[in-house]
Amino acid sequence: MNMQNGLKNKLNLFFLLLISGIFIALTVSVKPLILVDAGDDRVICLGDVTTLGGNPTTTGGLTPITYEWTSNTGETIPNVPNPDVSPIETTTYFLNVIDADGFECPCDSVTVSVCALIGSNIEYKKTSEPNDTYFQQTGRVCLNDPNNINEAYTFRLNPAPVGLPLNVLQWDIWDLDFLNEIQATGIGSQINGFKFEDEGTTRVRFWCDTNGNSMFDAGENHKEVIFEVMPFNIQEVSVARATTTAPLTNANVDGILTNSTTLVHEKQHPTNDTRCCVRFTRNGGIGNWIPAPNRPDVINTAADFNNLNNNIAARVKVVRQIKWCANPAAPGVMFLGCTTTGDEDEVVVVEGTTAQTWAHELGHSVGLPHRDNNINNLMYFSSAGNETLINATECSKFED
Amino acid sequence: MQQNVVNSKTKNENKMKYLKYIYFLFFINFCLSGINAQSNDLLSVEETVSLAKTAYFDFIPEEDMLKRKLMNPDAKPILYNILNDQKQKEFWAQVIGAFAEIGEKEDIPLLIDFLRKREGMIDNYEFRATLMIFDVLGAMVYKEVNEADYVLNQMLVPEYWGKMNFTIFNKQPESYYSFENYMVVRVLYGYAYSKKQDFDLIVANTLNSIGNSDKKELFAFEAENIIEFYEEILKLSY
Repeated sequence: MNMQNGLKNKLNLFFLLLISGIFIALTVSVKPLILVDAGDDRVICLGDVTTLGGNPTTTGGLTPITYEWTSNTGETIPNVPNPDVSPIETTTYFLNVIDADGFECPCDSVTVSVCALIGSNIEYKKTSEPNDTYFQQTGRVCLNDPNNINEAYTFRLNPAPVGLPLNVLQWDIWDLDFLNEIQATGIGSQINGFKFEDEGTTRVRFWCDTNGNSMFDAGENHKEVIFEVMPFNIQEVSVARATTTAPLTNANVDGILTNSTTLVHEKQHPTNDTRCCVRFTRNGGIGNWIPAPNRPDVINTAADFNNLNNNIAARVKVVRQIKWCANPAAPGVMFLGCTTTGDEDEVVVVEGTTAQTWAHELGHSVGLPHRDNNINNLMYFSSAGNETLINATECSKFED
Repeated sequence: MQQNVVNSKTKNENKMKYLKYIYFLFFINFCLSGINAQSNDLLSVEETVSLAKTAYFDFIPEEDMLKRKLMNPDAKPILYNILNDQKQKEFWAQVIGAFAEIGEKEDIPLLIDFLRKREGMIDNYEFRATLMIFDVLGAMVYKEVNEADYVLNQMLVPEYWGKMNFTIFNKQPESYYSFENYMVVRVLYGYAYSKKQDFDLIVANTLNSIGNSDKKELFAFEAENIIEFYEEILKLSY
């Protein structure tokens, strides 16, 4: 029994010692806790420097502590608790910490979003035309458009920066001429439905606005487009036709002049075309003349051309055929129009011709020569029906 | 021996010189034939059709005039198809104009057939095409296609137009030519492209035969105008 009791006591002592040993062993293996802080996610402008990590970056652990920063872009920053970084694109930094006992923490990370407009352009189009092409270049805006209202325009940054809080991208529109006053301001990468109201120069501007970033920063975080805002120049067009030509109604002429306006006014190409502030309108009803020697219905000679222009008081005269324009037409060739360059009252067109011919000849009447470097130029010498492009010089002649 | 060597060398040098000349002449000949071939190269059928459809606003560059001379007659079937296609009537006048360059006597009946197919009050596309036929026939006369001369002389008689099924006036314009006389006058303008030496006589005879007292002034002016046009045409080279 005693022996049994003695053995029992020995076993109790053994278990007691065993439990105590485990307790001691467990107590010795517990290490100090490390808290890691890679910092808060943030937005910077391109070129700005930001400091990663917290204050402090680690709490606890056995010193010395080793910091390993890596990024999703492949960057490695060795052993700095609070590195300064200036990423050129949105970047996530991962922080790994190892203390003196080789203990590694659970990783933390911080994302630095970069607002950069360097690769973006400001584009614009008329708001009313959802399928209209956006254009990038410095714009011309014509006040009092053909519908007699000032058109609303949509502007956007393209490509729009992604992954940014909405209020980081800001925009404003300034009238630079009159009082240098702001006309509109807002946030985001698109401006919808802005109406220009004053002639002169207006600036549309987008920029990245993070803490401490000036809105007047002219660097890569800033884009602007200057718009020349001007009124339409109304080109009044009186029309007369030979009675031998096909019937021509006021509505027909209005249609041709509207299409001519579209050719000159609408921007058909982002770089090779100018939005010209010109509107052709009919001046009075269509006159008629009965063909006679001094007012022919076919232009065969210089005498015919001069007689017609001297005796018919209309800017545009519609005839049956033109076989002479400065020179006689070669056999097999016909002319669609003929105009004395720079003389607004000496425009002759063949019946049935389209807005291309009318706009081309009206171009001559304001002094434009031919421009033959692109078959789509309005002032190209021949017509395939696709002539729409005018340049700034030509536009200014129409607008004078 | 030495002398012989020298002589042989001289002979060889002379031979080389001659060869050089021959090569040079071959080279010159090659260049000239190249230039000649280039200048005679016709446009492709597609290029010809495209050029034939071209309408000029108010000026024809010299380059285009030269290109027109290189139009390819193989394009004719396509051009005739265009003339039979109402959807392409905007090109009719230009396409007929191409026959001023590539037209032959075989084409004349087809052009006349185009006229005969016109009916009622023709539109401005048909009208332009009709007038272009006169120009083309005039140009053919210049190229000594006698059949064109014959047809033009037929067209100078007002009754020729009375047999046509079309008209160009909705209503006879007051104090103006009748349809028949109007067409005769227009034929004369086309005929001017013939550059015929006795053209002034043709004009005088034609207008005298159709002019009546109340239109005398009109015809007198027209005669002067046609001759003025003809004199301008004489300055053109084609």
